[in-house]
Amino acid sequence: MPATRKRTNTLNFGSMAPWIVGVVFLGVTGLCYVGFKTQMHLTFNKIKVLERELVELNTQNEVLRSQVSTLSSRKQLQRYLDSGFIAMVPIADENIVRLGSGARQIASAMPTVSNLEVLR
Amino acid sequence: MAGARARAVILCCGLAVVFTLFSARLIQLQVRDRAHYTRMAADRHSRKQIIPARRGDLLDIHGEVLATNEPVRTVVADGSLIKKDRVDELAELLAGPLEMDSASLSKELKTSRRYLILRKRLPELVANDLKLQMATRGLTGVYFDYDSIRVYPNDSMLSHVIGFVDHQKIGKDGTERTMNRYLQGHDGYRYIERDRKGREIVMYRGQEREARHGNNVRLCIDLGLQNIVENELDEAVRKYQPAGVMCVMMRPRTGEVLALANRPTFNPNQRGDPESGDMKNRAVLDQYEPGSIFKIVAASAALNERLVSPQTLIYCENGRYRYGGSWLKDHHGYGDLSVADIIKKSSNIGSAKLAMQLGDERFHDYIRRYGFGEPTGVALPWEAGGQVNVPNVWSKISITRIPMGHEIGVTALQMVTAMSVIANGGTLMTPMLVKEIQAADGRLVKKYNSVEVRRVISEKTARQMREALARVVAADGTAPLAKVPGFTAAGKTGTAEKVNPNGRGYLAGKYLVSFVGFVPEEDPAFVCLITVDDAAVPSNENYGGLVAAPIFSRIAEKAARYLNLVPTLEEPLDPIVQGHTP
Repeated sequence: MPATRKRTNTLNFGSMAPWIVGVVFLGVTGLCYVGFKTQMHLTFNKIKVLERELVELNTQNEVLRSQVSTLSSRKQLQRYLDSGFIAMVPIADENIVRLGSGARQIASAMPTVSNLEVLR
Repeated sequence: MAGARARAVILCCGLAVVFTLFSARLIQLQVRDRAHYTRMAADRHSRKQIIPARRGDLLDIHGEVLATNEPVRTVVADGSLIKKDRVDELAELLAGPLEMDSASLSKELKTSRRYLILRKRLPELVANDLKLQMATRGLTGVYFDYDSIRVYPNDSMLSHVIGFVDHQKIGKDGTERTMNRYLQGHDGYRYIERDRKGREIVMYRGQEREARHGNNVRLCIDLGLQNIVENELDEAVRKYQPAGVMCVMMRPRTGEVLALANRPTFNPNQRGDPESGDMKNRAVLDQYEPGSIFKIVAASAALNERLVSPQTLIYCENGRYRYGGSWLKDHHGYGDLSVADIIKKSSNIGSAKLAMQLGDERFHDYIRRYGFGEPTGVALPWEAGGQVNVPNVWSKISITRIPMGHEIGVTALQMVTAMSVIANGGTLMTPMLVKEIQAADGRLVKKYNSVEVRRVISEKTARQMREALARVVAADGTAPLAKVPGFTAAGKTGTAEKVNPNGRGYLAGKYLVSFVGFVPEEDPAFVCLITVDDAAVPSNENYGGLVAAPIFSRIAEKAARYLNLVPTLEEPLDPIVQGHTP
């Protein structure tokens, strides 16, 4: 009876293992490299978007600061006052606390303000 | 067989030659011409991106903003990115906001140029709105570069002190110029690489340096006082229609300049003709003959040298005194006048005799000790030093003319500084305009302290002078209209004929009238000088006591209220009803 057993080549995985590990390592390293590089690219783009948003916010802040300065400037307040948009209410005579002459002040009374304080 | 072998050899040799040529070319590109091609690639893809620094703000003593920045955009078209079939649509959208004609804009947008400026200084809000509309409609090829302009929220108020910047935001006048190195900051930069469409490849960013923003500069100016001064100067211009008005207010103990204003003035937001003279800070640039306000120098010098006391009587020749072949006259004839009365009555003859007692050299020395003849050192550009001749070149009558403020040139700032010597007890202070420098985050960078230049007169002499000057404001003095309700004011009037700029002598009928005074006399909180140049009033009314003194009175009264000074007189102040912001 003739032998029907197929002739097969045996693979010596033992000797191929270093090559397989090497190739897999290189493949995974390459994929990781590409993956990380893509990730980096996306992250940097996010940074760019955030930077742009920050610049926009800073610019808007500057615009608002400038507008606040202009709208609260004395010239603008004077214009509002002249146009009647705001008004100054005269202080009634009885509501004014008058400071006496410095020379005539009672010794125990504490002055509300002195020239020296103003000078500081 | 031999033929096949020969062909193989030839093929090999051919391949070897080809590869050798390739290798040679590779070596040429990569090794020999490496620098050239690297530079070429860098030029094409990488560039230095400037990160602009923010110019610092100018602030008043209380932190009110005097000068700041407003972001604006520069509208730029890139012809390579504009879709040719949508040019008209783009022009239609942009024409209104850019304030341009749609047809001409459409023509401009058909450009092949990659950088064409369409409009500068477009407000940020308008630019944002346009960007949004362009994105919604899918229009491309127009972008908005960041820029900023300098704005002055108070328009013309304090314009001569603040100054202005040029188109590169470099200070050209005022504190914008003198403080430029603190305000300007340093631009940062970043080396970037761009892709084919011009977008930055963030991953390949190169060297980077952050922008160092400019510092904020806080001035000694109090905008509340400045506003009082400006309103009164406007009123004076309406009333007298003069060629010019100057006002300087100073805190005598420290030399801090609290307010400084000139008329005519200008709006730094809309600068007009630079030749008109409106931009000229007359208070520090114009030197003029001060007239009788200069009598404080001769009187205080004679008192300080103990040649006289305030009660010493000087014979005033009944109003006419011939000296050096020339007549010297007083406005009214006086016989014997005390030194205090010489100041009170503003006697020319009395002042001349005090200077003559001092002698040329000593009198000249006092003039210089008061700071005349050299710039005060205030932080403003091109300050004039005034004109003080040395005694060697004085004429025989100079000793009689200089004490009454002739033959000498002073600036308004010098005159205020000199009066501050008397007000503060005898010390010459350097006028101080800048209080401190603050970093953008509020950190203190530099603090300026008041600088004592020298002691000019003793405290006793200063007190005697203050008492004498208080009498000028009395009912029988030369400036009763300078009286300040609730306070004892003191000061000196001056009326000088204007020097003819085109020749010798004076301009007939043209006067420069002044009043320099302080409040309160006992403990002066501020010194204030008003000078009115050629007021449109009759000659017999054009005196310092009639024109400048009332302006001083109104300013001093409001300033005293503003500074919350304790009244030193018994008469009450009127109720506060003001039509102006304080």
